Amino acid sequence: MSEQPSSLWGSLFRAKEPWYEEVMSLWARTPFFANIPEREIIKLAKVMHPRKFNAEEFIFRYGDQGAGAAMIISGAVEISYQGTVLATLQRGDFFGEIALVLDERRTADAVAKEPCEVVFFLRPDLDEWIARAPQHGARLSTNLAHVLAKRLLHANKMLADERKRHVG
Amino acid sequence: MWASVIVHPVSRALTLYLLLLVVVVVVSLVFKPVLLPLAASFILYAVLYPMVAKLQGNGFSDSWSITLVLLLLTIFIIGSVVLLFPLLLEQIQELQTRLPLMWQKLSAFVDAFGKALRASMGVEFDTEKVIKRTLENIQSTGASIVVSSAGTMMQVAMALFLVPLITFFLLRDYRNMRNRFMGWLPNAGFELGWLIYHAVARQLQQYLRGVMLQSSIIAVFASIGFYLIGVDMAFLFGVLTGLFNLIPYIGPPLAIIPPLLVSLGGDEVTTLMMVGIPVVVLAAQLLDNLVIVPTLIANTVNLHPLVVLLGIIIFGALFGFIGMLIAIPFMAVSNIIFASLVFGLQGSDAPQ
Repeated sequence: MSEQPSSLWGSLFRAKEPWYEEVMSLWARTPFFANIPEREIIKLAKVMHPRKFNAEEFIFRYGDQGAGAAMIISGAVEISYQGTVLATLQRGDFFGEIALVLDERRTADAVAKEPCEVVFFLRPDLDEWIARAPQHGARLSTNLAHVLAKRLLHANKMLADERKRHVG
Repeated sequence: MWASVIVHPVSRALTLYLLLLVVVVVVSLVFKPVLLPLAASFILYAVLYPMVAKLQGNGFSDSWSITLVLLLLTIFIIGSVVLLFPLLLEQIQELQTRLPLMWQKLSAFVDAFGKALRASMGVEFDTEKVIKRTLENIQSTGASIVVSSAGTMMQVAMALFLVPLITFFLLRDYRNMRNRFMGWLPNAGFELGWLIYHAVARQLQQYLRGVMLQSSIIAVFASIGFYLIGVDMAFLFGVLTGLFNLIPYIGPPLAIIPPLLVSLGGDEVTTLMMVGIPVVVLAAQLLDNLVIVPTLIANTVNLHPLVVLLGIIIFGALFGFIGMLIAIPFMAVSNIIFASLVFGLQGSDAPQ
């Protein structure tokens, strides 16, 4: 994972933080994991899948089968649809969360704009965790519904604004 | 034209599937000496992992969860060996001591049948020749079993040592090893690879658990049925019926033969037994098809009955009894991999 700035003493006397602790701390700050204890998030972080991407490499393409959400550990990722850039995401941002709920194809392209480290959180791992810890699973499902509902509201607003502009 | 055939999702999926098959064959050949203990360990892993996961979910550490589950398994195996193995062994020994007498009786039966055939229809039936040939076949099979038994004993001893050891390490480290292995997938195929892996693993686990439970229920049902109609060695034949039940369509009729032959060669042959044995196997089949399959096995394999039947015959001809056992899971897994590859590769070509 990305190197943390650390002092000489820190490097000498402190053991290097395992990659999943960094992943856990990034996910813990997202609305996904609101009100879920860190010890549970770390269990999930341990089964997540870190991947490295070169600049301009596709993380996924429109139409690909989605297996889960992705969190940016380092670098920048551009989300686009039919050539229109929808968002540019940085460290700590996540994308592709629809695939955590639906077994559907990707609805946009995600391209690494610089060398990137991304960690994937896959739907089967989430399902397994929910079966093991149903209480926290219910919490996470509600959080996920909140995230998706907010995105839907945002999309509706954009659509309404677009229509107004056309009518006007 | 050829270019479009080569880049077509079906041809790409077929190429990838064949490559995967080659890898599986090569790995199987490399691991051939330990293939049986490895397969047994993976089956145990599939059965035991949900229990380990449940304990981990309840706050037990990884090592404690695995140790507890393996301890329970050991107690279960020792209990089964202490309670059931002597009974099974006793019945096998009884079968061995009664075999010569049974053959004599069977010879007499075949002889009488031949005479009746000659008297009623004028058909010549050389009883002596038929029995001699059958006995020769049995003797040569017996000899080959004796010759190979030394090797088999070594394999069994090795398996007894290896299976618990491999199962322990699989329960502890398999997921990490799998993640590392899947990490070798290229970025473009990473998500599709995981989707296919999970679909295959889920189906295999469901199939294995379902089939093991199905065999056990059929074995218990048939044992009770055989015992009630007075068949000797009812437990042994019940277990055999459970095992034969693993082979769809062909297995159940085969399960009728051993208890019927032994009963024919027994001291007293009753009509109840002769009619009862096929009825018990048939009733077990009804229970299987009407209750067990819809509740336990349905949806675990989505294959056409004709494909299953042909697959079992072809795999049986190629790899014998083991081939018949692995035919269904192999075809089901191939079906998932191929269909998922075609579907996944079509997505990448979706118009933008």
